[in-house]
Amino acid sequence: MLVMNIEKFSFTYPGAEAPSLKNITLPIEKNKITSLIGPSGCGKSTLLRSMNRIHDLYPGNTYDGKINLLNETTGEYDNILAIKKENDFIQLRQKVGMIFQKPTPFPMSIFDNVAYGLKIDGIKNKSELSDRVEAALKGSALWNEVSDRLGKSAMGLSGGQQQRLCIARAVAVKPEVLLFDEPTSALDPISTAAIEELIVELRNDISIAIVTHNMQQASRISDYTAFMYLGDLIEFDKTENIFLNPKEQQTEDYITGRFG
Amino acid sequence: MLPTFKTNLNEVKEKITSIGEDLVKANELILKALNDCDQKVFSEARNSIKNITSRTDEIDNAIIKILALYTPEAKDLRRVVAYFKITNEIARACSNTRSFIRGFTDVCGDLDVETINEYTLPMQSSTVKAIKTSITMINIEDADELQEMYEEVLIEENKADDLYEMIERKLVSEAESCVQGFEKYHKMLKALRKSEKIAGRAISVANLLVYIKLGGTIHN
Repeated sequence: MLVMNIEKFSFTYPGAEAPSLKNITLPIEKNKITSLIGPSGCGKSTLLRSMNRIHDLYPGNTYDGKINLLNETTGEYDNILAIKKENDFIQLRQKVGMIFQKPTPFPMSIFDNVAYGLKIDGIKNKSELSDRVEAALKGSALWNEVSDRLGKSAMGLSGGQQQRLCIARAVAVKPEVLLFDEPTSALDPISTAAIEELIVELRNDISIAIVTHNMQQASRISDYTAFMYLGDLIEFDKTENIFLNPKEQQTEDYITGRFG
Repeated sequence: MLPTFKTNLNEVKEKITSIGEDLVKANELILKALNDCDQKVFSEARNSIKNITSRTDEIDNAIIKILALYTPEAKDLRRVVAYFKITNEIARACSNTRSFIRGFTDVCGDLDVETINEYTLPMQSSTVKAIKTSITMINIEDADELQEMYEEVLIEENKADDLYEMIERKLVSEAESCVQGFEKYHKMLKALRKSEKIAGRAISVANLLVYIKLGGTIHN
């Protein structure tokens, strides 16, 4: 079952003459991990950011095609490109969370970081907040490390812990999809392994799309892989097919390090 | 270690163990059948190692997938490579087992099995012990225990080797005194050699399992 279905999607940045993404059709399977790989400038981060319309923090982007998101309540798909109201954008970003390359904790306590989205969601009850924060931190494999210092500043955590805190903050509002934009490129191997394990665990509850330059990471953790080049989607398939028997020569050349 | 990597690796280990256990079972049945050249038990032994190629293909493809997706390193890499080679050794031991059954049953009715079995029974017994111990080693993690079991396999393999030499000498002298039956003796000897080869494969498997744990370089 698809949680998101991108159909003939094109995207042009404001002032650009040519589109950065051209006619992309890409299914995102529910409770699976989909990796987007490709050389720098191929459009993978642009595509990922389109999936929760985060580009629209700045005006003037041009969209074409559809990005359909599964509505869990009705079982139907809503085209997120039709969203215009600010409140709908907030709701979209609660449903489709995002984790960036550099950890972005807020300059507040660990507890408040995780509770932030919940408060915006209208949860005021202290015990409910506390339960949800604990669950999110446990779900992000951070609880054991921070349970005795929830009131302390999040800025004092290590890079890997900060990234897991950001994941906890995103997980707390129970998103349907989580988008990861090179989530481990700024982390050491131990923190990277912890985040990778966490992403694989999260898949049981959340559908995941991840942009990575690390092909081993894509092959290790993802179920599906999309290879992009110069704004085109060259190949999309199960990860084992992409890394063992790619159909397109360009894909094979890229994953074997012959270009890119 | 990623849980998915662990699961895939464990699945491979389970599949190798399963084929290995069938190989042990086949050789135990052979040991039982040798006494009176019991065709029914020999056929039972043959049946227990049916469809080995498709099972080993499955393991090989799973290993290639693991290598492609998880790019294992150090001990993990040694394990995956060793599993690849162990699968091949077990497949060839199964093939040796089939050849043994075919060769032995072809001529056992025409020769004095009682004399032949004087050495064949202890040799096959050593082969069974060697292969059984090496298959058990697949699921052993303790380095000392592995080393001990490796020594056991080595002893049994040496015994099988020595016993084969004795059979060889005996059969060659019998064949010399019976020129007409030479071909049958030769065929029997060729079959018995397979049992000794199976013990040889057991030591290769044991060697690879020690390599996983202790590292170093692979010696064939």
